[in-house]
Amino acid sequence: MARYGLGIAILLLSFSSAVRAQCMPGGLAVVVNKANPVESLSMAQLRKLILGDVRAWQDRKNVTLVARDPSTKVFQCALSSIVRLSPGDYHRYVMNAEFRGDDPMAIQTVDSDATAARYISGSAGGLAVVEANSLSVIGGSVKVLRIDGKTVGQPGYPL
Amino acid sequence: MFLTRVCGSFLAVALFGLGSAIAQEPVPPQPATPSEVIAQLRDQLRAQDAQLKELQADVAQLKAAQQPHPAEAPVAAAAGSAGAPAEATVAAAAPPDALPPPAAPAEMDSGGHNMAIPGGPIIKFRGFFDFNFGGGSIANPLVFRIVDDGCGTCGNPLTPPHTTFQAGEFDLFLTSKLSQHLSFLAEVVLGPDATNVFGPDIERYTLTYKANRYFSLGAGRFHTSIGYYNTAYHHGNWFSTAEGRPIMYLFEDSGGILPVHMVGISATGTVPNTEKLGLHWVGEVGNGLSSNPFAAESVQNFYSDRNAKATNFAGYIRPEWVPGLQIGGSWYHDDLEPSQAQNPLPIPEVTQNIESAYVVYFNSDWEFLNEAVLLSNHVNGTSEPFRSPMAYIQVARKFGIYKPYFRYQYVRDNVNDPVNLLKGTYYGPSAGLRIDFTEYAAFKLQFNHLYQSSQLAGNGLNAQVAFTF
Repeated sequence: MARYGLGIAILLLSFSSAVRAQCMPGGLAVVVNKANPVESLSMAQLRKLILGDVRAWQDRKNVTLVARDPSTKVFQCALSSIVRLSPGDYHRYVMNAEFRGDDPMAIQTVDSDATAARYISGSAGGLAVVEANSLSVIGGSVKVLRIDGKTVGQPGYPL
Repeated sequence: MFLTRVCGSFLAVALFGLGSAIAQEPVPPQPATPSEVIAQLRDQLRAQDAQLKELQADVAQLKAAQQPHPAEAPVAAAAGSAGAPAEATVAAAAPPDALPPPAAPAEMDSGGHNMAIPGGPIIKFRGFFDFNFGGGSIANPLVFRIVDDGCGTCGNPLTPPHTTFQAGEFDLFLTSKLSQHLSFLAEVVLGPDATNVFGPDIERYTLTYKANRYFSLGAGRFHTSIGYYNTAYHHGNWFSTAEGRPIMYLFEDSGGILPVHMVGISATGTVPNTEKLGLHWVGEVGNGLSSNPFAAESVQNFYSDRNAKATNFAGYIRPEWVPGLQIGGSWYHDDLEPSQAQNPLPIPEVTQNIESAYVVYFNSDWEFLNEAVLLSNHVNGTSEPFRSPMAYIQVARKFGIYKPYFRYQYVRDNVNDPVNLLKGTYYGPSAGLRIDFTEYAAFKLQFNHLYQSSQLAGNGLNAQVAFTF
């Protein structure tokens, strides 16, 4: 009986890890509008922005999260590395926050990192987590933030 | 680019239509001289130019409408170090114009359905429902309330066994943004009870003015900030991991003894300069529960049987260094006057105090809920209050779509307390499995074993499908 229980537990654990996206360290970048005065964020600050605990930048512009489709790897990796939630749990968290009485979060879904960059370049409070290797395509249309004082590719960069 | 295409198509169609319209106009008499022809063509060009400018203005308005609207009062907090080196921006490897065309971004937020009335605010609504199957005496105390038969110290009678399909709560949740700072929410629930009759309840309605993240003020009927569970989970069963609420947080009309709902005003916010600690505060003033616990409706929605109001103060922290951790507590105070109730009871004034403390932790895999509440009812003129401690722990671990959970709860209501409906001691484990078989629907299977003072222990098995729509 105990052997069966152990087998089921191993099966569940392996299933649990199988459904998670394989995220490469250093594979994500956080981008904002070039006019945004913020140059660097801590992981805690980034977490609060993604969870909607903070809804405005220091220049009083409202934060708009620009997100890829929940089925994409970049979206799943961003959530798991920043707020440690799956897309489904994050969606439920956002809904539950509204259910508790919070204002709805401003989240725009886009179909590519390039679209995210284009959107952010026209949105003063926009913030997106994109794939680091797409920065070469995005070009100078957005500003890439340092996270915990580290730039993309620097040792110790947390995303 | 999508917008440009749409606008371009719109312009083309409009110009084509304009051209067709012009072509279908009655043919004017032929001018006699070339100068008259030139003058006529010039007039037509001027008219078309004016119409083109109008269309361009319309396009500009459409583009402006596509920009995101501010969601709330802007108060800065997420500040990084401004003035960082220029290398923070990425050198342009390709000009912005070389970027692929963007698709029209779609709003994600929390989904829901919108209903816009021309010239008025937008109502956003979402629905929740659950359908259940229960067997055993402790199958679903939310529906089959644990009741006292008035025998005083003998404890409550054993709830009769029942095996039944149960309609849960049909919950309509509505929100509306009236202005940048003002919003309204309401939760309307239709649910049956042991009489099998569906009854409507406005469980929540709150008009909230949010000045900034440090202060917001709401008025209406809301869940009292006692402990964690009561404000984290409302009537949408889909949100909660387990099948039902802990006994200590049962709703008033299900036999609960805590003032779960309050009608009054509530203020809340964060404390400035405590970002790392994440310190939040809550202050509430309201009617409190009826002084007569046997009243048909214990939540005083309209009539208050006393002038003194209940007060509740709560605080909690969400420290930055442990994401997912929340620690908090609350203190509730009320003065019940049973002799002044609409159906008076021959009991002097009762001072009611409720203290709570909790520690909860969530991450992508684990869920820990630990709460304790002490309810004290002190009848004036007596030396000692009647104290009723209650607590529960809940642990859950997620494995993909599967989430097994365990809850152990303990409620000891003083049997001599004159204003507590639920009397006796209840404790025992619940174990269950939640399966999120789709993003918006979950199946829960839960087994309950409940020890009850002066009675045999009861068992119950619940199956529930809970979803949002």
